Amino acid sequence: MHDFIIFTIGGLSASGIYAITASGLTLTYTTTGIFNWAHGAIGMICAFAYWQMSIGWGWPTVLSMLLCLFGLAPLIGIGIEALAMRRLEGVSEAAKLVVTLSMAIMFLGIAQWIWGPTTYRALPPLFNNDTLVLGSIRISYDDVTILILALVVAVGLRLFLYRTRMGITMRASVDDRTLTSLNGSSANTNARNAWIIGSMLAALAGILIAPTLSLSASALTLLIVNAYAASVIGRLRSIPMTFVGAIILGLSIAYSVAYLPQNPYIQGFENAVPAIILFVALLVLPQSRLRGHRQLRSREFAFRPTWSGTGIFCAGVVITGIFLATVVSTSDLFSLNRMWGLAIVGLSIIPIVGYAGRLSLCQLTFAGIGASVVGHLGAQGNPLSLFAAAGVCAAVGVLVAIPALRLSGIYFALATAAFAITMDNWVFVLPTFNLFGHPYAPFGSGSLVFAPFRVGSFALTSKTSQFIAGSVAFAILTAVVVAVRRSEFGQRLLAMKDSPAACATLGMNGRASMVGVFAFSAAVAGVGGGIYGMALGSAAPDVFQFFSGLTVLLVMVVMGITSAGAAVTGGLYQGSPIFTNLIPNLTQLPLVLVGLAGLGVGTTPNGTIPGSVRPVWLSVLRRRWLLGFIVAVAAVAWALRLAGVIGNWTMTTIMLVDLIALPAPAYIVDYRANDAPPAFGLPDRRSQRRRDASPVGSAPGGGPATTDDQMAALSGAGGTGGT
Amino acid sequence: MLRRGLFDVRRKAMPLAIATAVLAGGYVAISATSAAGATVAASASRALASNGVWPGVGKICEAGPGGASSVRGVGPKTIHIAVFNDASNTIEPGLELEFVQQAKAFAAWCNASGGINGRSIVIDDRDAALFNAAQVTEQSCQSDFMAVGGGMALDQPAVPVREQCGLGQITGYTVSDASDAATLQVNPSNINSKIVPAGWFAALTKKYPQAVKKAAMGGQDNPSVLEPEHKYEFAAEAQGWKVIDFQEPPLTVTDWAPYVEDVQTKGVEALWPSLTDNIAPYFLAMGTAAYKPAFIALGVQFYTSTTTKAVASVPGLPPVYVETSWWPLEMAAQSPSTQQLVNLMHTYAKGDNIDFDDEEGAESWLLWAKSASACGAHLTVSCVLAHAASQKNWDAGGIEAPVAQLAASDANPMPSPCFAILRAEPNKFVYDKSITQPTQSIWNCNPKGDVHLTAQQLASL
Repeated sequence: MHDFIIFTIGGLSASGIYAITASGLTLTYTTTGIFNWAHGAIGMICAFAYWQMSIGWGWPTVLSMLLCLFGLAPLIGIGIEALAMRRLEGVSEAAKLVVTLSMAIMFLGIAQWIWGPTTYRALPPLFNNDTLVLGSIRISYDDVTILILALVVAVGLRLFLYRTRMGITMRASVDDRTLTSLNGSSANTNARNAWIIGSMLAALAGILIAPTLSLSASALTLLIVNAYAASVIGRLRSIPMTFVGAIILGLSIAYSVAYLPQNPYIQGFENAVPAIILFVALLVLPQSRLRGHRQLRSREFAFRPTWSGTGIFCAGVVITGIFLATVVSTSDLFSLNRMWGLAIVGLSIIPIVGYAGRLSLCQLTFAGIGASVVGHLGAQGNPLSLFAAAGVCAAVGVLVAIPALRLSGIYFALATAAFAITMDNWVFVLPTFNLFGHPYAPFGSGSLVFAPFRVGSFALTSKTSQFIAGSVAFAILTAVVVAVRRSEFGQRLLAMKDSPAACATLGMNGRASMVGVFAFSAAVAGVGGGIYGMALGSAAPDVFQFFSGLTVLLVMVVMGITSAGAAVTGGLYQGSPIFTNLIPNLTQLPLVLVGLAGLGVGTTPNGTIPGSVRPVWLSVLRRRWLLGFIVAVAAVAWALRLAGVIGNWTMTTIMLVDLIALPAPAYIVDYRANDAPPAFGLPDRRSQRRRDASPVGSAPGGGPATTDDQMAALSGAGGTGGT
Repeated sequence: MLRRGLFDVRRKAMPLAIATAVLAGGYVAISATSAAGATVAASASRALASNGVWPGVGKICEAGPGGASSVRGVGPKTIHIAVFNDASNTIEPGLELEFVQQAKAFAAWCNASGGINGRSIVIDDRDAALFNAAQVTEQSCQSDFMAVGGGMALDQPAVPVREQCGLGQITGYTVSDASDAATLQVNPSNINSKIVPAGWFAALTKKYPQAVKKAAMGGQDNPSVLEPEHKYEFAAEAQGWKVIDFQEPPLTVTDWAPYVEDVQTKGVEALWPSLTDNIAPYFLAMGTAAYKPAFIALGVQFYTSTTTKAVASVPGLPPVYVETSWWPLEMAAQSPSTQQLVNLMHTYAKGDNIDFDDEEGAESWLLWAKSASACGAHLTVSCVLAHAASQKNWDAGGIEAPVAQLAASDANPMPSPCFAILRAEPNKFVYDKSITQPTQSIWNCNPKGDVHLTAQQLASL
């Protein structure tokens, strides 16, 4: 009994910090409608700033704390609202996630830039580790303070949100922005206040937790993940329930450490407890109402790709693969090889997020499962192991999708996040166990070795052959995804994304489709994982971590969630050695750049490729002679490079000019003639008739979906067979 | 349209400009603070003779004719050496950066003395950033003679690349089993993945015979961390410990109270808490819970000022022991070789923290330099490795515990069983002779200190 009390007290002390973090998260969601993935990152920046002031510059502790909480944190909140959040009105869930995620990544990059991680920085505890002793119960004054602060925050926020005018207007603003403005409240002011208070709470949590987490930038940022469970128990709405949720979380962690048996297979489970609590909490949430067609500020469109266009794209991908394999140096090819595996993972995001509109954050986890299968079954280089990977991942996808079916929007995303974190912390790090009579450890003892694929005596041993094979695999999978898009199944997915209520009215079975698309995405991701593993040569579970998967998603959303070209860009960004080669000393720069790019998603919510690149290239495609000229120049540059006449830098310059500068005048001419769809956020100057007729373009204020898509969905849904 | 375009650019340029200004300002501010620190260290530099002689090792660097060579990486006046590291990765930035700093310092000193028989050492910083091990090795294969004194955390993919291109390696830091036993490699500590040097467990058993029957160990929940910790568990049990609790906490632990209470309620008396790189919060939690086992023992990675500061911040801790097989820097005055290393770092690497990583790098460099200088003008990989593998009683002049016979990594090398135990006291480390019970200089070299793992134990990892 005595032990039980000790562990209960230990759990309660841990729950204080979760309560403060989760309360801030819940408050931000309630008052802005945005689930802030950068909450922990804001806390981290403030914790570092507090260290800099109180220890680095030696200012008084109280002054430093006040400056951080009431000076820096509000400034960050104001900055976030003005620069990033204001443009997120009426934008999809995926775009909102990407913007806050970009902020988190950017803050991480900035913190590592300013406060180089090689120096050890420690924050002393607030009360010198003095302990409060009550009989046999011992609790440090720091923990008591945190608990009291958590309680004050919970009660205070509750009173604030329901009893003060500012709180009520903030909640009203999220509920119905227009009506709130009509009642005399400034939407911008409400949003700004909401972000200020949210940032201050994040800063408070960061400063309080920093002594224990030793000012590590990534740990402080990731802390937020554990707090999600508490927020979800509070239904992302109720602060008192969030407090209760934090207590449940803290106690669960303490009891699992104390009472779970000493078994190497169970021990990882302790570390997955917050994620499992999150998953269970999501499952017992009441089912949300089916929503109708959502009024988004700019129309989201998903092209109906033609087979000819797809054929050209696939051929282009393979040609690009051969091109790169011939011009890139052998050593760079080692890391460039990784791009295809990551590109296929990006491709797997398209059906589930782009077509079905469900935010899945665990695609890289499925890639990890696929890699584990290929690493073991394909130990002799058997390429059929890729099919096995697809099968296993599809099965796991079904298992994950079925309980998560009733969830939508942010809740579905959190469920996939819970799955990903559970796999990271528990399953991927399991030691060897017996599977069907064979010893099996998901990632060996540290890392799994992959053999190059071989068919008979032909083996992909050289990096060149692996690279070209990767491009072929990507091309084939693109064709498969396009086939899905063009099928009735694909049209059903798009219809369900647009208006689940209408689909239910028409009698469509959404659940089977949802499980199907999730399994399909998982299978594609699994294949990508296998190819990624082969490119790496040996993979550790760290490679497939949850946060890395978020970066892949981020690039996909920025470039275009329905575009296969975005998948290639994502692969290039994360797989290629461009940044390490060009700017080896500024390693944080890619992080910061990605963050800045993500912030701009609000202006082009469809992504750069459909929103900007495609309209420009349409102007080129109209002029066959220009297209021919551009292709000819590229081919000549390649030939000269292969012949050794020019070097890589010259060839790259020629290619960049060829592909970027030459199409520009064509587009400008068309735009001035009011004949081109808008690109790069420019206003649409076309006449209404032209806009309706053209499959490209964004119409502010919503507009009809693509006519042929609508017809296909209706006829398909009605069961009369599509056209 | 141009006006609109400009407006758009301005809209986006503003936040970018603000961000850049803030960043620049912040960076300047922080740099000013750290620059002040560097000047203080510079004034403490001591005299360092540039005569190419390293105490305890001999004359390793001297002027000479050099000479043309067809061997890759060897020029008439230069030798290109790769130093592998992971400094620019984004998960744990700065990883293994000390190896590069130490390498550059050594190369500067050696070149000032004339180089290796007249050839200057040129350091090539091969930064793998965790995931590019194979790539940087391939790059190194184009132009480097050998790789010395570095290491990569995920080094398995690099092994076949290095072996295939004939890039010889003398390194102190290998991680994967494949890398431990690779060909074309000599390790100055004779690292062997099947043999665990862990004599300090026996020493602690002797001093605390009852306490070690209730021991707790552990490691962060990550296979590459857990494997060596499980090996230490096997070694401890072979030397009289009984491990009754093995914890595997996650990377982000916000409160160590449950973990401390877990070992406290189980009555653990011997604690080996390799749970986190920063031991301070763990000690704080122990203080809060008033948990005082018989002793705490830590591996050599805790031989840093962080540990002594942590001990200083929590009164009432039991004895905290740290094992080491490198000469304690506090006793550098008694080891001319170690003192030379300290002087070297003060002279050529001002402002850097000097710790056991520099000793780990130095042992590789000294072995390489000694072997390379013995090869004379005809410098080849096989010659250097042959000289290195033939060294008897190798101790880098005194910096590391002596290894009876060096061997190639793929020839089942026998690591040194020698160790010394230090006590971590508030703000200083103290050599504990009574527990160490030295048999050779400050080292306890009882051969039983090397624990040979059984096949079953290896299979279970």
